[in-house]
Amino acid sequence: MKYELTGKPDYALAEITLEAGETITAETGAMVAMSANMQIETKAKGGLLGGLKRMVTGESFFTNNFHPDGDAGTIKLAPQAPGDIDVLKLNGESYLMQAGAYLAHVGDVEIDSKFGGFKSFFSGEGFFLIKVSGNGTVFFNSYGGLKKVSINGSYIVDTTHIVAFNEGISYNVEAVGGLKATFLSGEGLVCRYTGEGDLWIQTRSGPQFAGWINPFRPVKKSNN
Amino acid sequence: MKIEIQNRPAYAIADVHLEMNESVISEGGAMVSMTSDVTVSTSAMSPGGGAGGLLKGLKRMLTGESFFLNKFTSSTGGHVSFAPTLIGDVEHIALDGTKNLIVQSSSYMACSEGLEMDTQFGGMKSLFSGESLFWIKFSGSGDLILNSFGGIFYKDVDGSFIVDTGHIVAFEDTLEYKVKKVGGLKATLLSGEGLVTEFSGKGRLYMQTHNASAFGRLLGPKLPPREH
Repeated sequence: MKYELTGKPDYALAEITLEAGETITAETGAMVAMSANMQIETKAKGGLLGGLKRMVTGESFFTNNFHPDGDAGTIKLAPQAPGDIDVLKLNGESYLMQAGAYLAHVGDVEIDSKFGGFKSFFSGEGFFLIKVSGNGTVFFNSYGGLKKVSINGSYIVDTTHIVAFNEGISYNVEAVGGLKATFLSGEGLVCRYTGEGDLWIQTRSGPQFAGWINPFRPVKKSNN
Repeated sequence: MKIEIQNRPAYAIADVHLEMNESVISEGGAMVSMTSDVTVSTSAMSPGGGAGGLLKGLKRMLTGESFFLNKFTSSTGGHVSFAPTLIGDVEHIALDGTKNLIVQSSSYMACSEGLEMDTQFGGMKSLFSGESLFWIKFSGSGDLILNSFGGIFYKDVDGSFIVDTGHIVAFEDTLEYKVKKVGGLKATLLSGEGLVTEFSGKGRLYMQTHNASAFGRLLGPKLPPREH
């Protein structure tokens, strides 16, 4: 497998070349273009139960597997939202990733839906995390720019700006400031990280944009 | 305070590096991340603060701007990162006390604590424009961080110059302005240009390449209706 990331950082595209016998697994809808010898197979990842679990985290029920028939083949993948793409090379490590950040993987990579913490239920921000582990290459994406932060000690991030982080860093979802700040500040929930490791954040927030566009939606007509 | 802007121009983010016990003020919701020594307090006070704070806060509420501003204070020297909601750039403007800057309310992102901040009505005519109705006037010396929808650019106006109201980011208060219709009645109704602002005098004018209300009106009708 060879890859090239083009269109960075605002409209990134992953251009991947697979040798015969190699397979890439991608989030549904991620395929932009591919060579004519690529075969597609749609699967409920991890069986029916795994598929249902994936739906809870806001991912799609299915994933697509692509492999070239005969010779080598190419495929171009892009995320739904405009933004950047980066790559994690796994050699036995694990990362936690916001559910929407997963784009694709090649190799022996396990994807597990992991609950982001009880408090996240109240955030309304869909702070669900998935765990990626094993040996292989994982492609992940951001909404907006991607910024890597090396944590050594502690660091605080708005939950809607989190993309991915080393599993080894401990984290706690909490409100920002005191009670007054929580209700009036307009800042939602934050994640307080403690430990050592890498964290990727995105420079724009999906839920914040959804909140901005809301007043422009038409109002439902009442039948009464 | 040191300001570092990354990911320009499409998805810009501003890292504000604070000295020990230094503060930065921001609009609600702009904080992306921060070092753990930073504490947040929320108040109705304008950055200039003082006894007039609450009244100014009320004035901000009346003009539609969020009533509350957040103050981030670093206890040991750390940083806070701020980003706007929409796609676009972030610009740092240092004010030295010789010129005041009038900022379209949604273009304001953050500023240093020392700046005086006061809201101003945009004038009756702007009530009909459907654009942001009010302006925030910044005076004194300090750092100001603005955001734009799309790219940001400026023109040093000398004479007179016309801008679509939705494309104004900020301007020096040495400029006079009035909101007016473009062309005649036919042009106003059919040109799609709506109301414009005519500036006159001498001073710097900052503009954005896109109009946020126009984007909202483009996308909104394609979304499912809301309950109320």
